[in-house]
Amino acid sequence: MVEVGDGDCQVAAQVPARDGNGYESSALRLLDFYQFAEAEALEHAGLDRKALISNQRVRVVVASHGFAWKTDEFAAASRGEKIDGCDLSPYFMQPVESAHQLIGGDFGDRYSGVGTACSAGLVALLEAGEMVRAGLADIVIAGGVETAIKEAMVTMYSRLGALTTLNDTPETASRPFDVTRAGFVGGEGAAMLVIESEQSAEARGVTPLAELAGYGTAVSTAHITAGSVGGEIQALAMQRALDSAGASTADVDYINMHGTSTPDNDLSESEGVRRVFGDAAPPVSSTKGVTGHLLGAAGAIEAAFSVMAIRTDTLPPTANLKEVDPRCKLGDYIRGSARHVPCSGVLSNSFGLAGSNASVFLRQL
Amino acid sequence: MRALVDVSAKIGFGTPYELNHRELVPFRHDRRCIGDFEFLTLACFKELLGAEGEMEGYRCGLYFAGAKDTMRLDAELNEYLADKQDRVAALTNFSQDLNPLVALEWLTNIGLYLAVKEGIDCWRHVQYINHSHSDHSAVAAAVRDLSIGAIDVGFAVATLASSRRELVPEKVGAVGVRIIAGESLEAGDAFELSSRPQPELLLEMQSAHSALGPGSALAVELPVHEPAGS
Repeated sequence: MVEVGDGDCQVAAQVPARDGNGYESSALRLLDFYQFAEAEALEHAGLDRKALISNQRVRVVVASHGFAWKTDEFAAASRGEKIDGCDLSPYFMQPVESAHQLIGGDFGDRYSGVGTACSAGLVALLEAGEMVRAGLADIVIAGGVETAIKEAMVTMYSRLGALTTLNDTPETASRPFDVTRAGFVGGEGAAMLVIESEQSAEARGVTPLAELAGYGTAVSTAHITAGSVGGEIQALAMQRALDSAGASTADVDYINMHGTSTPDNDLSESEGVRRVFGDAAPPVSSTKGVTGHLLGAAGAIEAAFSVMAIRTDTLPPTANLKEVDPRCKLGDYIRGSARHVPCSGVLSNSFGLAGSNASVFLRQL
Repeated sequence: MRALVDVSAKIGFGTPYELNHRELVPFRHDRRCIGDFEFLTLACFKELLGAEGEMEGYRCGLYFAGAKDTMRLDAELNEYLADKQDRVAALTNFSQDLNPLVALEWLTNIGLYLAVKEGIDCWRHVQYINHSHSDHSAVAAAVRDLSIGAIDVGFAVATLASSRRELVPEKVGAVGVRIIAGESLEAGDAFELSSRPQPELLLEMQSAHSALGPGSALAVELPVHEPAGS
């Protein structure tokens, strides 16, 4: 629970400081999240960071939503002070730049920060895939990091009506596809993945976890701050992901849905899946029932979950899903407990406000 | 295949332009900087798009570079917040009369919105927010995605806008390029991409393309670091 004044939402999944002492600034907090995830990813991949920094064939792409302003600047701005000779607006600014400069400084122009709202985590993976495919990189460290639980952020999204109002039951407030869902629960965290060319992995003698087989994006302009209704544009992103992988709907064993727990997204996403798969949709679930919505990092952590589904033949359930909204008309929303079935292909969705939609197709090697 | 800049555009950055965004954009804004941003981005895009319908049937990629000065604005809000003990309540009250758009800060998404409103088929959309060299990321992505056939046409645009007097008019503007695939051997020496504080790269590209004269194309190349041992 977070205290957010008198707004409608008082629930968020905030990650405490690792040492319990907090951080000097939001940028440093974001940096700490990133470094934790990056270190874990590199260790898992058997890579040494120092060697990567000097390797021109290595790149880094990090997604974030952009609410990592410095708390000292926030406070100063709130007092009306100028920062670097300028007025700062805590309302409009996107000073995640400071965090991005901290994260990417070692890699110079081989670092990119991307921000396409809630699809950004998947867009970062798409960027990594394109860099490898174009022969510009052998290894790309890609993913998302989010430290967005801030009073202003909660106020903004609450004002938009996107956040849950289930304040009395915070543990179950994120309940994608449930008939009682009432908005998303903001979450925090980081997930970094190592995207590597097949040749590079072979040369290093490592076995990749899965193939980033295809990806698709599609953009709508239905509304500047709302997702697309009807599922048409989401379907286009999914179809493009399958097409770019040379895959068919029959190759998809599971869909990790964007599934935010907002009334509109869960409905339109279900409609989008029906447009692509008809009555033959595979099992679907949203892991946001557990994590909340990690915004710019959501696509990355959910891609990691999707890889784990392939690696372990285990499909995660949607936590807190008791009764499926009858308007969500897919046949198999996984709930209750995980399902252990063969899984060799996963579609993972991330859809953003303002109509930026992305899907990736991950495949067993 | 070569990546060719066939259209470039620059609005502002020391050249006069008329600020009349309220007639151009489809939604209301009370924040001048955001209005400037929309106006500049849209005006730049309209030049890059070419004739009406010219992009029909092409798979387009949109690559935006945000600019930090667009984020530094609004003395009014700071003044409003200055003596407020409860900032959250103050923000909430302040936002009540605003378009929901203004409650979010995705200025570069506004560019996307406006661009797609022009009816183009968007297959790639990325906004780069690493401000020191965002325009380099945008141009490089356009060339990259063209080279692998992911798109047919790439648009890379960087916009800087601010309502602050500290940002001199020469620093305010939008600059962009339209990049297509071609085989032209008459495109002159290739412009090799390298990063520098944005938007200098795009401004240099626009200048180099303009210098070639009407109807000319500027070849663009990404420096490729060969794999070790190759």
